Amino acid sequence: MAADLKGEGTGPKRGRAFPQRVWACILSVTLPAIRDGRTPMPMDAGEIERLIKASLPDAEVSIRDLAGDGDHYAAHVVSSAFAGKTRVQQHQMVYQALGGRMGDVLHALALTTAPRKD
Amino acid sequence: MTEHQAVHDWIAKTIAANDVVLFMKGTSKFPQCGFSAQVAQILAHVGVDYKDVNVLEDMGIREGIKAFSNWPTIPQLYIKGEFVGGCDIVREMFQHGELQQILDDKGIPYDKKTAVA
Repeated sequence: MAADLKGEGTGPKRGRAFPQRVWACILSVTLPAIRDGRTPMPMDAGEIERLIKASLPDAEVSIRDLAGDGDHYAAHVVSSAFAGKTRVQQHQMVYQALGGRMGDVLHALALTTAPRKD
Repeated sequence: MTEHQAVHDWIAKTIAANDVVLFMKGTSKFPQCGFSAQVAQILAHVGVDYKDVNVLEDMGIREGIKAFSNWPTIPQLYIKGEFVGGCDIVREMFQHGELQQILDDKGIPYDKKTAVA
């Protein structure tokens, strides 16, 4: 079991259905949004990068579209602003940059952060 | 006391009374979200006892924990009253052996065979 927890590249592949519990999780976000008249539009990767760079101008942002559906991303953000901050604080800075979209329209953004080394 | 204050107090009391608390969608035995399931799986693998709080059972706690931690998503892991992170951070810490290191530092029992040498 440790192996599959540690494995990279075990994410959903293009065209492959998610496990039922992942669907349940996605629907738990999108259905209330539809009910409230908010459009659960998937976010464009370029828009995610733009928002992060607007708050963290020196950030290097790399984004992978995990499922090929424009809705499940993994982002890696490197910035000198992260120096001396805990991981929680670094992620909070990125969430702040995304201005409340995380956990709302942006449901599935796997995030890793690191301070710039130079 | 407002409901908001009551929820805040309940969360504060719960993370003070339990060494390890996971706020999650579903339960440790039956997670109802892939992200919550990943953290539950990591904690089970590490062999640490924890209190699971199913946020799907209480809308007040579901929203309250986000404000309490200043963290927009569920799951959320607390160790000795301290917010450790969500799914991404817990997974990263586990991969680097840092999760086990925290448990060691705080004197919380777990399966030492899983510690990274």
